Amino acid sequence: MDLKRVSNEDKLSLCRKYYVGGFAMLPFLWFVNSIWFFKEAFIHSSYDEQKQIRTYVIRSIIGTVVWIAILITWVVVFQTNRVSWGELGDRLSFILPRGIA
Amino acid sequence: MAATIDVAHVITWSILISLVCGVRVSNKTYVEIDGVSACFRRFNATHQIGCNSKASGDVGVVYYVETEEDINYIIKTANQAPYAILMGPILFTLTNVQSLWNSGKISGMMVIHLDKTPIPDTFSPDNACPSDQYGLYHGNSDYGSCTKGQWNPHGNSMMFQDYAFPIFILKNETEVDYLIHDCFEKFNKPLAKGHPRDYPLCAVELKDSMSGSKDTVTCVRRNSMQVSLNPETYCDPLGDNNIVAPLKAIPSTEDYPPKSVIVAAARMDTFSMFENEYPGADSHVTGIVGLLAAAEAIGKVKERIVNNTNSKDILFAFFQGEAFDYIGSSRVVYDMVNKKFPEEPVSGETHIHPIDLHHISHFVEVNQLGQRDNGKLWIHTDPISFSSNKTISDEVDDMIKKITDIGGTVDLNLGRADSSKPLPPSSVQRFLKKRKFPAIVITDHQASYTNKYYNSRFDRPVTIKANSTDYDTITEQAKQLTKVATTLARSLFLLATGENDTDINADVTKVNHMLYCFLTNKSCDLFQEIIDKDNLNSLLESSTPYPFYVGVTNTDNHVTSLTKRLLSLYTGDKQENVTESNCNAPAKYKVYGYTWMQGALEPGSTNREGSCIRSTVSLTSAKSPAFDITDYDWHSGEYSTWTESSWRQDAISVRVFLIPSEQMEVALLCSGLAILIISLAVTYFINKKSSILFKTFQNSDPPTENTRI
Repeated sequence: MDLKRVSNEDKLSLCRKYYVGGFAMLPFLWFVNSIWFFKEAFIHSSYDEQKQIRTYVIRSIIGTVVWIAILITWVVVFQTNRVSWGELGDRLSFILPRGIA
Repeated sequence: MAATIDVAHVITWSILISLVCGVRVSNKTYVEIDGVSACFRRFNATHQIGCNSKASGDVGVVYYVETEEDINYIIKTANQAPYAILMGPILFTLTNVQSLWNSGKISGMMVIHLDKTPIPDTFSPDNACPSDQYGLYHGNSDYGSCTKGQWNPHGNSMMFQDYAFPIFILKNETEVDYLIHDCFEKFNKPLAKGHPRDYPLCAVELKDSMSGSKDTVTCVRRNSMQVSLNPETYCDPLGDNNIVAPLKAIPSTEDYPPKSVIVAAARMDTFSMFENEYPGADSHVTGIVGLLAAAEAIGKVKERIVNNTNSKDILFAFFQGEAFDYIGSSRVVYDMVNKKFPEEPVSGETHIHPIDLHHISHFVEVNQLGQRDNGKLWIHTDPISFSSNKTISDEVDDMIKKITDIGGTVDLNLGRADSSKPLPPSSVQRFLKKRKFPAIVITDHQASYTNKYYNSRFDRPVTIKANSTDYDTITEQAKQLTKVATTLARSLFLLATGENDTDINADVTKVNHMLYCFLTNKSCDLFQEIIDKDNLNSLLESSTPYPFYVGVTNTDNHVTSLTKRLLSLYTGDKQENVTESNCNAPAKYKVYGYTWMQGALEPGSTNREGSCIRSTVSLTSAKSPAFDITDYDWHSGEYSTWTESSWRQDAISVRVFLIPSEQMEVALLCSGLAILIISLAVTYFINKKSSILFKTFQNSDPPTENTRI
């Protein structure tokens, strides 16, 4: 969808949907929201709904960053401890490694 | 003029076609080395042993080391690492392997293994005190850990090391020559001391990528945790089947008194570090053949045992997987205790009476018999049961006296090993752990092994003088082994019936044939006669003997099935007027098994007259109880926990190719990148200026919603 062709009201409603949707453990929606509406929120000349959009985008960015931090921490913890966790490590793996512990 | 052009066209095209005609780049780059055997991974409850490479293989510059000095050169001076070391078997020692690996310059090893290659004077990859942890004396301060003397002093434990790199043996002479002359000498051998050759160098990619890792506990768990649509195994338990035959065939409906069975046992398997190289000539083939020949001699007079109610029964038993911490014998003991030996009773069927430990009156085990100590065999006893009970010690003394006397009549010198010394590694230890009874082990050494190649790839027929080029030449080993078998047969007969019969004789021709078939040529007449049509093709594929490795539980072991057939032939009865299709056991009466054998070739024709043999021979599981007991404590040390790693179809390969220097590789990569960037720039520029060449129309219609989403 090209945002240029969408009315400002629809933009706000769309941005809001993505923002709210992100709370359903869907950080990727926040990530998309922050990229997609970045220009609308910070660069384009101002219009009525822009302030609201900006709030959603800022919160989406914060959410994305928090999620990325959580995921990176988990990946590091998991990768460094998988072997020592033994059975738990295997149960948490979808693809079991071949030839290495 | 036109004709000239046509000719020129044809020539140009044919040159072009001949230039491009299809040799794959990989075929031009690599030379495959096929005659190899890999060292692979195995696991027990706590360790992994054996070799492994990266999934894509490990690459190294081929370096042929001929002397210790070459090894020092690699460790100290050589600077074209990583190296793939090519060496003869004499230099392949644990010390050399470890110091080469610790130098950090090694990516893999290849060991030459040709018949003509000089071999070390002694080599055994097993421990100096084999299978001690699972034997009778584990934890015993007087006899455990070989405190009274190492059985296998040449054992270097190389089998039980975890190598983080691939090791292969090379078995094809042409390929070995290719590697030494066309690869190493042509490209890699330093021209003078300290002057390494210039690139390109000849390298080898050694791929030996194992699926399993860590230990049996881990890989058994991973086998059970499959989430993928294509389940793959990580390891499989070692194990197969034991071959057992109670001579008397007492059905479960009849009475079977305690202490009425004499067990005559031998072990079925050996190992070595490399796949398919398990000759085991002395380690156990002499024992198998010795016991089979004794069974044959007794089989000829078995009516006198079977029909004599006062006679004891004789149970012939061949245990599989003994080299891996007594898999077979520990399973038999487990089954006996659970009243499931030789088979689990099924209600409504008649089968052989279950045999329990208390049914055993005597136990005679034959071990290595080939490397006789100045012509002498030794009888070993268990000091614990011997000193525990006067009845047992008297019976042991009596048994040894009888056997020694009988040996004297056939010119076989038998000595009694020091009775304060423990038993050598033997299956009977697993029985004595549970119950004490008179037991002896007959073998060819008094103290440490006379076999210098115990459980190794060098335990070849030639070292026990059993090598012959044709089927009917009687070897020296066959003659000697016949005496042993005769002694064994007469002794068992005497122990069972109380009669000393000097007409019982083992057949030297049969002994010779068995040795030849097991050790030299598997497609021999004897094996062809006893096999059925289904298995004939596998037998005739090649003459290479079947490997004497227990294997994993889900594959068929040819040695087991052939030994079963031989034992059936020797102790069973030929059924008259039975065809192949009705050579089966009756539905409810499972005391006897029926085996179809295709028989000998009729003289002057290609016909064979097959026969149906009825015998009491049966197979019992030789899978370690550890894998069948639910919630077995893997670290209890009670049962063998050995498993073998799986590997994928393409996981093992060796190929040779030329590698350029690092500078060359970097230069190639950089020029490739440069070309890429230039072509991107050119494309961008052309695209930008395309309006010069192509007239463009401005499309004024906006795209529809559908096309944009």
